[in-house]
Amino acid sequence: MKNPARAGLGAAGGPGRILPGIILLLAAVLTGCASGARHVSVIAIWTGAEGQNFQNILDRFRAETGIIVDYQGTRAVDQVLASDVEKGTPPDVAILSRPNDLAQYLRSGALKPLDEVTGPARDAADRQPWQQKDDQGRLYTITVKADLKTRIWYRSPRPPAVLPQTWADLTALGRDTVGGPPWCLGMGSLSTTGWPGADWVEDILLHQSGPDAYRSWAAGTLAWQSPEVRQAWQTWGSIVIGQIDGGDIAALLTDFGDATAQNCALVHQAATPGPGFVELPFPSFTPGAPKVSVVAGDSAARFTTNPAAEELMRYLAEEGQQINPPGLLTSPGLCFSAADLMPTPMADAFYRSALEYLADPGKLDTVLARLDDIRSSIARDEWLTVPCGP
Amino acid sequence: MTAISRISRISHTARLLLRLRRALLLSTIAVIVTSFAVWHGVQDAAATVRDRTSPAILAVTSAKTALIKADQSAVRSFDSGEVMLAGPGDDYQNQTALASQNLARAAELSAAGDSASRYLQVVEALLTEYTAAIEQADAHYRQPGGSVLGIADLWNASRLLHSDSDGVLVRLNDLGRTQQDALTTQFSRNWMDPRTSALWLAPALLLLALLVWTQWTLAKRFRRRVNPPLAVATALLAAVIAGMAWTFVVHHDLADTRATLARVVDERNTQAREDDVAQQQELQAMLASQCGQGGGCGPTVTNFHPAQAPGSVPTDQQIAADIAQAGRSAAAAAAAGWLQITLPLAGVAIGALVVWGLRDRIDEYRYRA
Repeated sequence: MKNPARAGLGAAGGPGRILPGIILLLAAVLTGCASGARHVSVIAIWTGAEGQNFQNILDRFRAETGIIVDYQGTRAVDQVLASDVEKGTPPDVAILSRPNDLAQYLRSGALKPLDEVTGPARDAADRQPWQQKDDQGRLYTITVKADLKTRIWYRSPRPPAVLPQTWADLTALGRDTVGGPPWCLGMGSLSTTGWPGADWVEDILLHQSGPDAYRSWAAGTLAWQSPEVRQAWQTWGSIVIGQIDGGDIAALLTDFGDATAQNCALVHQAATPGPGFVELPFPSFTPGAPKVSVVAGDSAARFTTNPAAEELMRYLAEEGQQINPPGLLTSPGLCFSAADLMPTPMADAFYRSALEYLADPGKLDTVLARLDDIRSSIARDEWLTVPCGP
Repeated sequence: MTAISRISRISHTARLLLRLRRALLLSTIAVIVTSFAVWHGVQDAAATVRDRTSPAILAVTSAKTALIKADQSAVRSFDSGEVMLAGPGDDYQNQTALASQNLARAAELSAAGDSASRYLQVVEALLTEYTAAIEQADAHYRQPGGSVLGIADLWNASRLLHSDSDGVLVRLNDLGRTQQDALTTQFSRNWMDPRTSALWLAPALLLLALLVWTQWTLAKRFRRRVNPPLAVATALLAAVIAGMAWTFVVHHDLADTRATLARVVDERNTQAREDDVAQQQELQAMLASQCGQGGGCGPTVTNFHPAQAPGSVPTDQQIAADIAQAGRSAAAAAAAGWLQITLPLAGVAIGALVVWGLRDRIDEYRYRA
């Protein structure tokens, strides 16, 4: 016999309606929790247009995987990351420009091995000597964005009929073009002000004295007061001092991004200065020497075992996902930017010294002696020895 | 009337009274639970606004004001030559210390969640860069022949503070916006939504209706003009409803707090902009005098134009009065915490009065049945 009470409850919206409702609610909560867990936190230095470019990549990653990336871009990335690691709450992934900082994190055990990076992406990383590995050969970093720094740009719609072969020819070409000091130079870059000068010294040293001297200097074994390094500074001085459009003081007060906003003809920088410039070959110091170049890059490392972060690292490492000029990282004779290989206090002092030298070239002896004092004060195991590659 | 029909009428009355008592007690429990929950939620939100959100917002605006004053003091110290004797100066030191203290206070009080914490962390890191750049400017400026580099460092420090993309002031503005958003969120949370708050009214009105109907039923059936315990319970319920209506006053006080805080932030920003424009004009003049002989200062300095000074600037007294007003509103909103306990106690008393008021009749008719 049918129970009228049960029938009545069902009709009135009792268990007959409540139970499915509860089940639906639980299902919604459970599926909501499951999808909410797939988050990855990433910190990097990129803000503005660079930050937006990276965000576009992250958006595509989200569209493909459903994983939400919480990206934080700030130039204070080093301080924020150090603080987070110390507190035991690091981001899942950090992207840093200095291999030396990544090496220190690897040494402290903060990095996780990137076993998820395999195949061609792993092979490419193996050809880049600046990537961080442990004694067992496990990979800990991948380069997400790389730039070739050995580049000279000339303000002209087309290259000159005769390409300058020497620095004197190059400067003369620039002077003829603008009728005055030809070089564009801006040393300003907020907390890393001075690096454009350091880039010059690195490039000149590499091309004048070769990769071996460059590697020794970057590894802290070749003194700043050595003839090779001193010659590089003096060469830089002879090329640009007194030859900067707007004057040497203006270069100290100008942001590197504004350097080409003047009536100058020549600029040494990685990024394309914009329309109206063509690239010229880097003049040689030693004819017949093999082609070498300085490269810099921002490398990603994983700080947690979040599986979603592993997926992101795999994605970033995949061919075609990196924000790199095609073929750049497989070019021969690439030497990583020495300042980024040096310990932080040494790199900071290098940048500052470029400013001091530009402000007063007569202080070169003092500047180099101070740099050597700092070099001596840094423990040996804080330096990296990275050969040129691949 | 037969014996059978009499027994049936008596048991029906007992059942009715028992059902009435059950309904009254259940409604009373519903009133106790909802009034306590709503009042607790509203008071908790009011206390958070008074003790955390509001002071944290003020701390961030104070930090911004202090940093602009610090930068102004540093520029004046370099411009006047005081830097050669006393570095960037006492006022610079005091203002940067004040900014750091305010940031620490904002961090301690912040109820704005993870994103505010991240902004605070970034601001603190950027502030360290800024003070290091000023120290560097000081060190260079004091060296023989180091004035050019010292001024370049001072310019760089000022840009660290003012950079549009990642400057300290921009990040402080981001932090301030996050805190304002947090305040807005606190207002839209369940307990702070006036519609949700009104939910306590439904069981309260139901209980009131039941009490009145019970009183009327008793009067009709037993020819008693009034049941005193139920009358007292009804009066107590009216008091509970009146007390709960105070939540709408709390909403008004908190809305006033939010509006006043927004006004204070605007006023302080306007005041800070005036100081900032003055500082940037002084810096521009100093740079022009330094690189005037050397062919100019380059495109970055040339294209640097101080912002336009605000038309009318609020006085310190105006801002102080508004801060006091915000404090008073927040304090008033959170002042009626004692009701949180009183309301459930009143509910318990209503329940006891209901039991007392119906006990004699129920016993009488149960006994007769």
